[in-house]
Parts: sequence; C-alpha cells; structure tokens
Amino acid sequence: MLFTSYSFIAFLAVVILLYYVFPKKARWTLLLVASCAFYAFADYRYLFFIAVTALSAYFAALRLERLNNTQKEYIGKNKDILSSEEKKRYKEEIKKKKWRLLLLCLFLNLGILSVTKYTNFVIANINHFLSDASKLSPVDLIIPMGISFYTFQTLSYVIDVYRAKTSAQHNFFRLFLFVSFFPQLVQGPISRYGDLSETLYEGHSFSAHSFSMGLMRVLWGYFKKVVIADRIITGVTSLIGSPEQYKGVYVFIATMFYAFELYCDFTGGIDITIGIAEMMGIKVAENFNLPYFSKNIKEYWNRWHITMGTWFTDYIFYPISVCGPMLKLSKWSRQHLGQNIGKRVTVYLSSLAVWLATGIWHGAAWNFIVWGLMNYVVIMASQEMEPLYARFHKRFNVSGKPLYEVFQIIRTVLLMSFIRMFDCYRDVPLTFRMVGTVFTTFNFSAFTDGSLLKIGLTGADYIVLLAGFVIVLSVSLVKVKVGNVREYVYENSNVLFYVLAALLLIMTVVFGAYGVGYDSAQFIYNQF
Amino acid sequence: MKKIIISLLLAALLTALCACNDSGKEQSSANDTDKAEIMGSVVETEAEDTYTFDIGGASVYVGENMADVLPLTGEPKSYFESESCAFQGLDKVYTYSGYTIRTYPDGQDDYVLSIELRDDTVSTPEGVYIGDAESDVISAYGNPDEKGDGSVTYYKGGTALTFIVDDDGCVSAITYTEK
Amino acid sequence: MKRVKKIIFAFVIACFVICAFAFLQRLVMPKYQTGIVEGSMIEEYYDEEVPHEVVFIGDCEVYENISTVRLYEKYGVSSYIRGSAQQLAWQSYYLLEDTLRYETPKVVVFNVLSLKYDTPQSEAYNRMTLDGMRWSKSKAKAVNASMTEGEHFVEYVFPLLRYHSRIFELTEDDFVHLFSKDKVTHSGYYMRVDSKPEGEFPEPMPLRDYTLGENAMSYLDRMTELCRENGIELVLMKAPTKYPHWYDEWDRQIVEYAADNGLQYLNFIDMRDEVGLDMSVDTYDAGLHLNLSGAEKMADFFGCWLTECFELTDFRQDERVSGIWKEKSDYYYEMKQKQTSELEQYGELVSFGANAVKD
Repeated sequence: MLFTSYSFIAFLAVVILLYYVFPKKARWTLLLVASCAFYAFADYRYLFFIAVTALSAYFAALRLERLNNTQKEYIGKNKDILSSEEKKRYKEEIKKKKWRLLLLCLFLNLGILSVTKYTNFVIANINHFLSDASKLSPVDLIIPMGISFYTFQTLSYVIDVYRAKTSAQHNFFRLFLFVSFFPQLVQGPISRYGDLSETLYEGHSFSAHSFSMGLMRVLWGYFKKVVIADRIITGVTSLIGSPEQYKGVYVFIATMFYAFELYCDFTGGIDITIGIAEMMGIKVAENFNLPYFSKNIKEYWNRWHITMGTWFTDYIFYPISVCGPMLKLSKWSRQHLGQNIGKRVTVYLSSLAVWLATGIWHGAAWNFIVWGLMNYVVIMASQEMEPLYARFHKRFNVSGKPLYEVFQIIRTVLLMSFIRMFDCYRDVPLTFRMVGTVFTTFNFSAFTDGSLLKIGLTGADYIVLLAGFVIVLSVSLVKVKVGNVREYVYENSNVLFYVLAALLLIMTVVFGAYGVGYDSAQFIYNQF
Repeated sequence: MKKIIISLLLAALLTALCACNDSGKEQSSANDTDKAEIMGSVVETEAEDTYTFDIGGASVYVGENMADVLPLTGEPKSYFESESCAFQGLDKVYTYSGYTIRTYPDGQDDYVLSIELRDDTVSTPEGVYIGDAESDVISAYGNPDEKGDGSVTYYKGGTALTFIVDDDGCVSAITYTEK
Repeated sequence: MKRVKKIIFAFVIACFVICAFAFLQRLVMPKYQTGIVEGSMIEEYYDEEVPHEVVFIGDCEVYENISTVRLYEKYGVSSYIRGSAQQLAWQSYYLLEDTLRYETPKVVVFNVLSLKYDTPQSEAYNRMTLDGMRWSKSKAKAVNASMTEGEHFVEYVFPLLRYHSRIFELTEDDFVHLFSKDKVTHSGYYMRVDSKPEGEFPEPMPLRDYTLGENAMSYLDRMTELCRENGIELVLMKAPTKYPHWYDEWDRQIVEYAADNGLQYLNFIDMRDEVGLDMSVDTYDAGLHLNLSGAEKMADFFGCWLTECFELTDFRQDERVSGIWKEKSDYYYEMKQKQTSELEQYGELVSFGANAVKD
C-alpha cells in the first residue's frame, strides 16, 4: 500500500476516524491493528519477521532492565558492606551479562537484516572470484518492507535500555506498536523509544488545531511527492537510462533533477508520516531541516535524514570511539605519532565505520558503499581544510556575507548532488565517467534544441516543475525566517491557512503526476 | 537467561527458514532492486520469455514492436488495415508468403498481436511444419499445456503457441498469440 | 458564537473545494463532441422524451448500422440504440438494466459480435461506454465488471482523478461544451453518408478454441432472463458486416442458444441480398460499418420484420411523440445535408469522423 495509492488514503481515513471513535484507552490498540494490517497488506509473511524482531527486543529489554535493577538494588542495599573493588567487580559481572544479551539481540536482528538484504550481494561478490562453472546462483529471499528502518529503531530501543537511558516496555503489544507504527514503517523517521512513546500510547482528545496542522503537513507532503517528485522522475529515468546519449550538460541536468526529485520524494514522504501522526496527536521526530540550505557537507548531514545520522552517531560513532581497542590505539598514536595525528585517529576510524555502515545501510551494492566513502572523504577533507577556510574568510572578510553564504550553499548542493549520482547510475565506474563528462562535454545546445522535451517531460511538465520549485523554495525561505510555517500562517490568519490548505489539495489533485499514464514511483526510501 | 537464549535461537532458526521465498518471483532479491524498480519504470516483455518465430535470422515474438519487425520481413504480399472504432488506432494485418502477422495499436506504436504460419514453406524454430503429424509436435515440444479438440497449445511467458490439428491428425495451422 | 463562526467557515471552505473540484472535473472530462463522438452516445439517452418500444443494444454494429429515424418514418417504430464503441457483453447487460429503470421496451435487439470478448479489453472504450452512464447499482456493477488492470473504481466515481492531466490538453470543445453538449446521434444512430466499397478481408485466423467465452455468455443468459422477467422479447442479431470475422462455429453456438431459449436470431451476413445491401455503396469504411444508405436499408428491412413479428405501436399517430420525432427527423436531414455538402465540396467529410479528430 503506497502512500500515494487510493487504498492507502481510504485506509488512512478509516484509521483516523476510528482513532477518535475508539475509547481513549484503547486507541493505541487500534493503531497496532492498523499497523499490522498495513504490513500484512504488503505481504502477510512480513509480519513474522517484524514480530520476531519485536519479540527479541521485548525479552532482551525486559531482561536488561531486570539486570539494571538488580544491580541498582544490590548495590543500594549493600553499599555500606561492599568495598569499591567488590562493587566494581559486581558491576563488571552484570555488565558482562548485559553485554552478552545485547550481543545476542544484535546478532539476531542484524543477522536477519544481513541475510535478507545482503546475501545476494555477498554471493555476487564471491562470484567475481569463481569460474563460470562454479558460480553460486543468487537466492530468492523475502526482503520485509522497511526492514532497515524497523530494525534500527528496535535496536536503538534495546541499546537505550541497555544503557539505562530508557525503561523497558512491559507490554509486548505496546512495544510491537512502537516497532511497527504504520506511518513510519516504510521509510522512517527512525524514532527513539523515549521520544515516540511519550505520545504514542496516550489516547489523544481530538484537537482541531493539531488535526489541521497534521492535515496541512500531509497535503504538503503529497504535493511535493505527487506533483514534483513523481513528475520529474520520468526525466531523471530517461537521462540516466541512456548514458551514451546523455552526457555533459545532460548529466548536470540529471544531477539537479535527481537532487530535486529525491528531496521532494523523501521529505514529502516524511511530511506525510509526521502529518498523519500529528493528526492523531502523536509526535514523530523530525527528519529534515532545510538540508539544501547547508553551507557545508557536515551541516548537510545534520539536516538531512537526521534520525539516521543521529542513530549512526549514537550507536556506532560513539561506541567505537570509546571502545577499549580504540582508546588504546588513540593512546599509542598520540605517543608515537604526535598529538595532532593521534587525536585524529579515533575520529577518522570511527567516522570511516559510520560512513561504511551508512553506505551499506542504503543498499546492498558497491555504488552505495562508494557513495558512503565519498561522503567520508569530503567531510574529512573539509575538516582538514578548516584552518585554511578560516584564514580565507578572515583575509577576504566574507564570513556571514549573504552572497558568500549563497555561494557556500550552492557549492554544498552541487557537491552532494554529484556524490549522489552513485546512487543514481548505480555503477561506480559509469558514475565517475558520466560526472567527468560534465567537465569535458559542453553540449549547451541541449537547452535550445528541444531535446529536453524528448525525455518524457512536456513543456507543461516543465512549467509545473518550475512552479513547484518556486513554491518549495518560497516555503523554505519563509521557514528560515519564521520557523514553523504552518503555525505562522495559522496564527496570522486562520482563514488564509484553510484557503491555502484547500488550494494545496486542489493543486495536488489537478497537477499531480498520478494515475494512468504515470508510473507512480515508489518512495525511493522504501528500499532501505 | 537460558530460556531467552533458546527462544531467540529458535526464532532465528525459524526466521532463516522462513526467509526462503517459496513464491519465487513475487519479491525481488536485494541485488534485483535495480534502477528499473527504484525508478518505477516498466520492463517490457523480452524474446527469451516467449515462443518466437524466426524471420530473416531474427526472433520475432508476440508483443514486439512492429517497427522492429518490419525491417526483417520485407514487403508483404498483401496488407490490410482497419480503423478501430472511435479512432483508437489501426488494426493491421500483414500477409507474407507462408505467414501472417496481425498487430494492435498502443499509443503511437503497433505491436504484434499474432503470428500465423500458413503453409509448409516456413516452420517454427523448433522445426515443426504445417502438415507434420501431431506426434512430431509432441516430440519437438513435449507434452502440451493444453490439449483441445483439434489443437495442442504450449504456454511460455504471456504467449501461447498453438498447433491446429485436422481430422487426419496433421498440423493445419500454427499460431503465436497472447495467452 | 466563535464556534458557530468556525463551523460556517469550515462549511464555506468545504463548499469551495467541492465546487472547484466539480468545475474542474467538468472541464477536464473529454467532451466527445467532435471527431470521436462515441463517448457521448450513452449519456444522450437520458435526454430522451419519447418512449421506446424497441431498444437496440450492442457495439458499433448497431449504432452505425440501423437508422432509427427511418424506422420511425417508415413504420412508426420509436426506437433507441444504446450502443457504444466496443461495448462488451456485460456492459450491454448493465445498460439494459439501466434502461429498464426508465422504461420497459417491448423488444430488445442485442448484437452478438461482442460475445467474442470474454474479458475486459480497453480502458478507452470502457470510459466511452461507462462515463456517460448515470450512477446506479447497474453502473457500479458495470464498472467492476469492465475495469482493466491499472484502472480504479474511484476514478469512475471521481473522473477528475483519471482526467486531471488533460488540464494541459484542453481544446475549444472543453470550454464550449463545459455545461451543455450537442446531440451527436439520432436516437443512438451514428450517421455517415460517405462511401467506400467493401474490399478484400484477410483470411481469418484459426482459433484453438471456438467456444464463446463463459463470462460473456453468462451475461447473455442474464440478458435473456432479465427480458423474460420483464416481458420483453429479446432478439439476437449479427450485423451484415464481415469484418471482424464472425466464425461459423460462433454462429452455430448462437443459433443453438436462440433455439434453446426460444429467441429469434437474425444473422444479416446471410441476409445481405434480402436486405438489399450493395456493399460497394452501402459502407463508408470498406465494409466494416454501413453508411446512411446501408443503415436505411437495414431499417427498411428490420422495421418490416419487427412490425410483422411484434405488435408495435405506430407512433406517427401519437401527437406528442410524433412532434418530438419530427424534431429528430429535422436534425437527421440537417446533418445528412451537411455531410452531403461536405462530401461534394471536399470529396470527403471534414467535420465528421477521422478528419475531425483533433490530435
């Protein structure tokens, strides 16, 4: 059930209606049933996988919490009797037990994720080294929808309980709802239990304000997804589909189109998710904060797919940075290679792990891994060049100047967009070759010879896209100024708010690229 | 603790077993999540999935764009076209020596609707001619997917290869059609 | 007070959205007024003011082959053709159900060619047949029975969802006929006065199975039953045109069906001489459909047969009905005159048929 399908919209209407009809206490059970139905609609067998993940997390978290409590109680009870050595030993013992349990849970869930998602990738790579006769044939596996998202979300819960940052959920079905909450099941955001549980289980009274805000956000999401992303994707597909024909300027156009497409597709999907939750009074974590207004790549990654970034930071970067071997290595390198290099070693290695993981998480293919590494290289390089930048900024006094900031923004967008072409062409050497043609093939006639009208986009499509771009840009600029645009409009004039909502609905229905004649593209992030 | 470990391992085992997709082609494996799927584009029928007929050294199949077939066939012996109702395009019939191709319009293009072998100057790539015995068909193609009154049919992909058999048990016509 | 204000405001906004959608839907829906007029045929029926004792149901083999005005003028038979392009058997059945909501004819004539299709065929034809049908249970069932892959019921309920992309393809017709449409048929008959002699047809393709589809035949059964329940005489017919090919094996099944169910079946392919058809002049597209002269000959023959076989009212004696038919006749001759002059002036029709189809 795609977000853009009629069946989803009907499903959503029924769920929201029932949500407010149900007794407050039972509302979360409705959401659980709806989430299971949503998942089963895609394939009932998926439910088994997600249930295994939820069950493992449930038991592991309960046990972890019990161990936490046992430790607390034991030490509390015996704090006067135990020596600090004994206390330490006891803590070590408990920690070991917890660690074993956590490892088991990680092993199980990452195991399922790896087997389902990466088996064929591994086979394909092994096959490179085998003769034709002994090549392994790929296996036909189910990949449960959104498995990367719900696995990460569930693991964050278990790790948080392990770290005693959050308490365990004692009702399995409540936990299952956290794991499977349907609006975010397919493409995130990757919520933290501590955040989402605050509003997920509570039966919210109907609030016209919250409902309107949510609805507006849903409409905005659909507008971006259906009017822009699903329209422009035809052009992107044509341009990247015939690399021999479309070089130079076309690659540049494809890069820009893809940047716009991906932004509208992904942020649109997330807006729909957050909006749906908001319509029911539930608060889901934000996943974007105007990423294309970032002035450097590091900032970009703090603004794009935020919940994934923080996940990797919290659960990969920090643990690796402070793990025993890393601390030893850091110490060793400080002693032998000097302070300067020594302090970088941990950051470099931990970041490398994060970006490798990010690449692999995005897809079982080399192009994603290279994409991750490219990000890594660029971030590290810019970090190294920071002193140089600082000197440049000081010398020319450009820091904070609007024009220079615009330059920085454009530079970041271009850089990110080009790196993203690995994800687009899905072939590492081809991507290098094609991006290379941008700097060697100057076929500017592409703009005038009408060939851009032969890539599946008509003049009318370009007008809609241009209008869409202007609207998205304007809303983004207003957001920079006022923060929450919807609240701002509502507070100033709720008449205008509802008129805008009505217009958004009408524009989406009329100018949306959906139905016969359009291949309503799946949300790109469904795949991960 | 033991119980938890046992239950988790059991779950892992079950999951691993369940991970084998018995329905075959319903889901794509990770490596198949290629551009076509991500971009939502449609993969057209290809010759390998279907029964084909050889013309001018190339394989022609039902559902193929007629524009790709025409260069192979040469001039037809006769050509017939009829405007479909309400101007939804032209249905075309190309009659060649030994075989006939019918097309249907879809958008701007015409696609092969059927190929009919008419006499023994042509044969299927598997070597069956008009006039051959039904047993020759069976030995060339194996047991038919469908055996009707006076016909044997084989299915492959979305297409059907039918041998019309007369009262004497001889093949009187061979047709390639949609299933 | 604030609450009341809010409710009023919500109501106003809702009205605005509904009106905007209604207007846009009207705007983008194809008007079928020039060139491809077949999509207007089904809805024209609802404007009818005269009773119909004979209703023809079927595809182009009825709406292009029988002149209803001639039937009236010569025999006083008030008839209507509920036909549309590639109208499938189940669509014909549900259109008959729909017709019975408004009147009960004495005779229903069903053309059997569409029985060769057992499954939904084409969205474009579905739309031409179903969009014009008024909403009822019958329409809902017709839509469900007709949808091809990728079609959605909701898009029939709200055609804006289907046609929204036409916003970029609007033509003059879309504005001129936004709120009113011109009649394109003569009680369902589609007129063509031009002529192109029947040519050679290609050899028919041998089929692996000549049994008419189970699904299609089940709708014929239902049609037979519905007529029986309503005291309507059902007549089966096959138009005199030979292409698309009507196999003997199919014909035998219909003959048998008619005999089993006590129905009359007229296969006009075998009766061309009796009807007096001369296919070198009576067809406008090389033998696929009849032109006006052919359709009038068919009406001459059919009217005679119908009045002999059934007790039909001579509506020429009915002042109210004859008044309305007079208007219909006037329009008929006006169109005939227009087409004839175009033919004389240009050697072909320019504002009718293929030449009028706008890209």
